Amino acid sequence: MTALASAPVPAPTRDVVRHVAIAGNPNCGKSTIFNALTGLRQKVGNYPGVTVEKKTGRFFGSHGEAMELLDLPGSYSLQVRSPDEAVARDVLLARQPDTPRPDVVICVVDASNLERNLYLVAQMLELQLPVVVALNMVDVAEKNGVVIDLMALREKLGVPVVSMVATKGVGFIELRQAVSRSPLPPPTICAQMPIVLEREVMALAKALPVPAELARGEALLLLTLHEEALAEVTHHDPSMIEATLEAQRRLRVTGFDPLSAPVEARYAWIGEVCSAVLHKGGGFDALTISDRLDGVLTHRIWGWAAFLAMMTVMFFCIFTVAAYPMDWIEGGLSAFGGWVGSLLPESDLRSLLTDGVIAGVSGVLVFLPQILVLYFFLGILEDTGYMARAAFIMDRLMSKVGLHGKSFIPMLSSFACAIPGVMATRTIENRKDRLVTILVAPLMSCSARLPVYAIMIAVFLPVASAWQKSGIMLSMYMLGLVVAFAMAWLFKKTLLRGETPMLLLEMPPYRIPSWRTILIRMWERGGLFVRRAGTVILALSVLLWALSTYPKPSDPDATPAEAIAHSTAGRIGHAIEPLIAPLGYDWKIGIGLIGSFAAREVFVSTMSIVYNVQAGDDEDTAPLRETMRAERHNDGRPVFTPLVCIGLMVFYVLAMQCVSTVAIVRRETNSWRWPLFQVAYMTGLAWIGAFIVFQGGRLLGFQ
Amino acid sequence: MSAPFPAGILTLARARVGERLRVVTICPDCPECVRLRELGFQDRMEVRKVSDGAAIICSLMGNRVAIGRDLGEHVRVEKVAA
Repeated sequence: MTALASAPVPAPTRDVVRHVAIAGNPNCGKSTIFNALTGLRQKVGNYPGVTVEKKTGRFFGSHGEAMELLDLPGSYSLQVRSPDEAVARDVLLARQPDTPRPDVVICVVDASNLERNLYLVAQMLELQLPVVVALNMVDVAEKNGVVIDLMALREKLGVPVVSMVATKGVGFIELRQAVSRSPLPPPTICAQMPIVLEREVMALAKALPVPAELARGEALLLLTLHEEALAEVTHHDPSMIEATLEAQRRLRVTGFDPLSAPVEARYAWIGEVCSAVLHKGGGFDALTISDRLDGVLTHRIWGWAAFLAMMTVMFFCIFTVAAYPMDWIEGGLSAFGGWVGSLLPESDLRSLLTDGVIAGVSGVLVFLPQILVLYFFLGILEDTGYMARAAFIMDRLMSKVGLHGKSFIPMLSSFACAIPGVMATRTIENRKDRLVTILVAPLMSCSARLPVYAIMIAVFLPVASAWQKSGIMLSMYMLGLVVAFAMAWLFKKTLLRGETPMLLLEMPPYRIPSWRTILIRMWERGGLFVRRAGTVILALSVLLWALSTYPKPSDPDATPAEAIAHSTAGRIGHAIEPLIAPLGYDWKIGIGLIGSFAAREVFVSTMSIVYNVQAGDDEDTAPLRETMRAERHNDGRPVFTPLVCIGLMVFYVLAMQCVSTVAIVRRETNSWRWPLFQVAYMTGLAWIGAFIVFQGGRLLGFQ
Repeated sequence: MSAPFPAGILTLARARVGERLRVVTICPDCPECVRLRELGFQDRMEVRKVSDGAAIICSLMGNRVAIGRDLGEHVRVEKVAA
């Protein structure tokens, strides 16, 4: 696969001779094939719903011709249930104006699960589109004692079939050849529908105002929609919907269920195909390793214990494994700052570089190792197939708040970043449930919160063990989870009322994680973090330095503390102080809160800048945690007491301080109403949470 | 759902873990009836219940599907003789 992945990719200007789409069931290897053909790096993982929107890339056919490749989200059927499945259906039926109907469809089939995967193939063959079947994971099938007769399968399906092991680069040459073949005729074989049904399908097809090649497929899909779904159809004239309902009534009178009859007909055909091509060994009763693991990991008690143990180990490693590289980075950047400072005479430029740029960027950059450890563990969870199990064990809890376990997958993805988490809600069928999940997903602690938690824990627990630190970190993640559940319950009871949906989720087989995939993901996410530090954080650091430096006090003998109080940032901090004083925060923390409205991790860089500027040039630059620990109010009381630190962590657990997430929620909900509501409710929740911690703690006699 | 089942017929939700079962029918009023069928819950198809709790995991055609207990009540099955 490496060689294929690094194959030259056609220049965007070269004429595309063929549009190719990759379709198939979720988790059958579509994105792995897409990545290998195009040289791109779409995210892959071992759970359904990794790809939720179409992605395009280019590749060369076997004769050097440029082709555009479209990676479609996984789908079990063209009778869609969720927005991600609708993307695949709409592209294949030419319903998307911005995407041409593909000339060829590579239908990826999981060879270890041929019968179920052939269902979508059966529907593809009904669409009159040239199809190439990529029979993937033949190695897994063989390991399971399943042998597939390739020649017989080609004959039975009437289309080219290529045997593949995409993860090992096997079968790509044959796949390119099959896709490049010209002309590629549309399929001639498909499942035979009962004659009564076929008659109604053809009558409806004739009346549909769509091109002839699309008519039968469209008619069949319309005829197999239940009444509520038909009521929501907007791409056909109401008279067509009425005609469909009439046809369904006629079919029921003759004893046919229009919804299940086509499914049964397709499975009857699949049964014939499989009996001719599939040779199985092994017994039905043999328990697989996945079955045994599921006995523990989905157990109502052991499943929870395993989940909590995994989270604890992850946070323990975040504090132990990452500690050494963090010290190296901190030491290196501190020495670099000192060296830059020693090169320049005392001036605003020196202050900008050392107190603004270096202090701001290094304050965030130092947390890179912890971010990498987090992504390493999340990568393992995604690649082994555990994500679906986590959704399963959460289903009981989720059903109590009116959602089903499937909503937990976007929430778990949000531990890395809320943006893919919000996008992953496209796998949720019900619109209201999807919206509820979008509204609560950013309450899950993302990687950007990690630097804030880590610095706060270091400030108020300087000599705590790694177990204690990871315990506090875990409790912050759990707080986000609990509040997310509580808010989901509230939304389902008030704004977005609806019945609790029924869980229906495929559990992928457990797999040994692909270390290469995990390392690539760590590299990419680490790179993103560093790029963010070098762009957004750098720009904000310069801005915050300017706001903390200008205007300068008229008195040249003013102390650095007086100077920052006089600056624009100081004035803003003082202006919002009455609002945050009940939380125990002073105006300098207020600058941090304002600065981090764009991105949470900016809080740490803002604190670095504020305290560096305040320290002036004649003091040694101490690590931020020590400066914060030494910070005092005018009356000598420490600023960062345990209650303030815990309150700040709670504030960041609950606050929606991420412009990128706001933008993605706007896109996914197609309105400003929901993201603005989300910002308002989360900010209110954060203030209340921090208030309860600080004032409640004081009432109980804590500091 | 309240009508008594013929002898030997039970719902998937009530079957025991590890039992070898055969799908008899899926209630047509089940909201997920079509998707269940599309995923392979066809009449006469053999399934095995792998895990039970608030939801059920069952194995059919070599793959595992998690379904809510409420949904499992809509799938009628019979035991397959060992």
